[in-house]
Formats: sequence, C-alpha cells, structure tokens
Amino acid sequence: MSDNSRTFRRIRNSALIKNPLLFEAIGLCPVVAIAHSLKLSVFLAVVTAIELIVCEVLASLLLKNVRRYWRVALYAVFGVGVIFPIMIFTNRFFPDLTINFGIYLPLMAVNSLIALHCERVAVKNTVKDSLIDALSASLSYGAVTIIVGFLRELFANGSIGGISVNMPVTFSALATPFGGFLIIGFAAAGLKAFIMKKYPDKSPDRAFDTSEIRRSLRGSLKELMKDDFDPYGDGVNETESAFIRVRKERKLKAEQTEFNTKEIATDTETEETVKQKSKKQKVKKEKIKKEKVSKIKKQKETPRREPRIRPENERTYLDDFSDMLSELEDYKSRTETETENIDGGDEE
Amino acid sequence: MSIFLKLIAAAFYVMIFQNLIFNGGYGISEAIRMSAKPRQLVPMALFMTYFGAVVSTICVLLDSISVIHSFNEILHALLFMGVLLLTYVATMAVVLIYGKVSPRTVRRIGIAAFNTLVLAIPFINYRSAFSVVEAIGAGLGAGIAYVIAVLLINNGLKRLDMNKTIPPCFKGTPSVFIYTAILSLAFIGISGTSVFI
Repeated sequence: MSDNSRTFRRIRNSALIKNPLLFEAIGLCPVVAIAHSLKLSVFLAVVTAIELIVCEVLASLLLKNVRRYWRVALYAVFGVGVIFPIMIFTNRFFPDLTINFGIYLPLMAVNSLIALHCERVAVKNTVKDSLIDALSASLSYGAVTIIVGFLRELFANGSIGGISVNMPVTFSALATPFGGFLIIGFAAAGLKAFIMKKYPDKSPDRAFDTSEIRRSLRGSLKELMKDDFDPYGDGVNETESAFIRVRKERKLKAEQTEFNTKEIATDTETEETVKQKSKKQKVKKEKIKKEKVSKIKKQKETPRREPRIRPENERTYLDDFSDMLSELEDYKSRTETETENIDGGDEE
Repeated sequence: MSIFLKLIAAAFYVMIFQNLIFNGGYGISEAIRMSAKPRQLVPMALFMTYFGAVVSTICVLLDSISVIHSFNEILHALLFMGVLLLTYVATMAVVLIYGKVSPRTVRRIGIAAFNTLVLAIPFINYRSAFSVVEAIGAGLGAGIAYVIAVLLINNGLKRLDMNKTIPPCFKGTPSVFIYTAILSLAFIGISGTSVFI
C-alpha cells in the first residue's frame, strides 16, 4: 500500500469514522456551551486546531519516554502554554471575544481532545504521523463546530455572522447547551447515515464502546480499583481480526438475549452467580493441582524396577544377527570355491 | 449550623440549580464516556470530588491574600491551573511513595484531575465570591453532580441500547446526544432560565 493511500485512510478515519466530536464524544464542553454563533465557533475551531497541532508535535518529540501519569500533567502544561498567549492576544485585540468566551477559554487547556490524541497517537508515532492526525482531527472538529455554530445562530437568533436574516420563527433555546446537544446529535446521525451508505464495512459505533453498558453499578470499591479503565481508549480496536470481532459480536448477542430473558433478576443475584461460578472454578483448579501433586508423590514413592537378569539359555537379537552373518560368510565361501572350480575346468 | 447550611447550599447550587454538567457542559465528555462504563463510576467520582474540593479550597484560600486578589482574570486562570497541577503532583507523589494502588488506578487519577469540571470550580468560586466553606461545598457538589449526570445518561443509554425501533443511523452517539439534550433542557428548566422567548 502506498504512503498516499495510507495517509488518506488515516485522514478519513480520523475525520469521518472516528470523528472526535460526533462519534467519540470528546471535546464537547466548549462546543456545547459557547459555539452558539458563527464568529465564536470559528474562533473556537482555530484555537483548538492550534492547540492540538502544537501539543501533538511536542508530545511526539518530547514525551515518548515519560511515564503515562506524568504525561497527562504535561499535556495540561502544553495546553496552558498555548492557551495563555492566545488569551493575552484576544484580551488585547478582541475583548468582546474574551467576554463571550468567559471561563471556557482557559478551560480549553485541559480539553479532553488534546489528552486523547496525544496519548493515542502522538506518543506512539513519528512527528509526521502526529501532525497528520492533528490536522485531520482539528479539521473534522472545526468543521462540526462551525456547522453547529452556524445553525445555532441561524435558528436561535435569526442571523448569520451577526447579520440578521429574516427568519419567520426563532428558537432561543438552541443558544443554550440543549441546542448544542440537539444539533450535534442530528449532525452525528447525518454523518452516520452517510458513512453507512458510502463505507458499509466501516462502523462509527466502534468509536464509542457500549459493550459494558449493562454491567452492574454495585460492587465493592476494591474490585473496581482492580478493573481496567481507559475512558480515552480506542474502544474496539480498528485493526482487530474479523474472527475476534465475530466472537465479540456473538458474545454481545448472547449477553443481550440473556439480559432480555432475565430482566427480572436483580443485579445482586447476578453478582452472586458470578461469585459462585468463580468459587467452583477455584475448587476445580485446586482439585486438579492436588491430583497432580499426589501423582508426582506416588511416582517418587514407588521403587524403581531392577534390571531383569537374562537367563543363560535365552537368545537375543544379537545372537540371531551373528548367526545370520556366519551363514552369509559360509554361503560366500561356498560360491567362491564353486566358481574357482568352474573357471579351472574351462582353462583346462 | 450556618456553616453547614452554607456548605449544603453551595453543593445544591452546583448540583441542581446550576448543574455544572447539563447547564454548563463542564465535564460532559467524561460523563458521557463514563456512562458507557458505569462500573468505574465510584473511584472516578471519588477522585473528581477530591480534586474539585481540594483545588477550590486552596484557590479560595490563596485568593484571600490581597496581592493575589488584585490579579486580573488571566493571572487568576494561571494560578488555578498551577494549583491543579501542584495538587496532582502532590497526590501522585503520595500515591507512588506510600500507596499500594494498582497502576491502572494511578492512570485514572490523571483523567479525574485534568478535566473541565474540576478546573471550572475555582473559576465559579472566584466569580461567585464563595467563602472557604462554600468552596468545599461546591467541590463536593460538583462530584455529586457528576455522579447524577453519569447515572442519568447510563440509564438512558441502557434503554436506548435495548430499543429496536430506533433507526440505525440514530443508534449509538446520536441518540445519546439527543437524550442528553432533553436532560439538559430539564436542568435548564430547574435553573429558571427562560428558553422559549
């Protein structure tokens, strides 16, 4: 596969199939809260793009050998390093933007979009790959943000970019987070329909893993602490084999059918059955272990067989072999004497 | 008694009357993603509450110093970010030196510390001129607000997942966003904001 097609695939995946805003539900906070006009959404898209590109490049260059728990803090430091000069700049030249953004501009330093992309791509890839990912993610994020801002301004205020359009009805609730969620929801549905039509083998649902959704909320804190958890994880791996995917789907289906049939059963009951099963498995394992140990002990205890004493008159295969050799030699000597006799007669 | 009431009032303000997650969108990404993995809710909510309460308390205490109080908004933002970073570093140092916590839990602490919900609390305290007690209440309330949001979205997700009449293009995140929009509208209604004028 050529480099160009690989790059195109990466951009397509990052922008469409794994759209950070619509399918991964990441970086929602500023879009939902402040992208209610075209001007604000364009500014938000630009700031996010700058932050994402700078942070990914820096993470790819500097943080590959740093431990993960320090990396998370360093992403925030990078974010602060990018956002605060922008804050000073906007405060001086666009004070109205600073007022409109309020506390959301400094909050962008800890945007989950930055942490996710740095952690998932930048620290595992080269600078070039990180840059491509940052560009594609910021483009897709920015495009959705601008569309959301445009629609919200149009339907909530009846204007485009501050210029009023004669809208017969305006719906001011769309300027609130409610409107943000609603438009993002419909945008996600639209993009999903497009993907389902254009790329039927690709599913955007994989970006938002819901396989654990029916798990019990109860359980001891100790158990919970031991579980793996990665809210910034990939969800289902894109590169996993078809076999694993089919197995997972089957498992999910089975779980769904079980859930439908046992709706009445309470969460505590299911926990009890799981505990019982684990206990049974433990008991089985212990039994098998004990059996193995007892076998080994028996083997050690039983005395070794003494070598069998062969009776004097018993023949072995070596005796037979030596007999056969001697017979062969007799036969050879006999044939040689016969030929010599024949040759001598001819000469005479 | 008045101190306790102040704490409760601040917690309720952040939790219900101005729900940070549904009314402000703070930490909504973490809440939606967490609602898909609800078994992790307890430790995550505990860490978030801890960071929220500690950072907001330290920030309010620092803001009582006259020099710091005279800072402009940009310097205040820098200060809040610095306090959050230092709190995280101190917590990690304690956890790594003394705590017998699994590496997975250690990773989780970072996600709980650096999110918009935790960093928003000191800003809200600063703008609302909260006292130390109210700041603690706001931190605790933010943690509870997070739990409420996750439980509400998780409940909806379960029902949406079981529903077979939803068109395929609306399955997954689209339906989650629309459901969250309705929840947000409900909390906006509780806050008393007029939306139909």
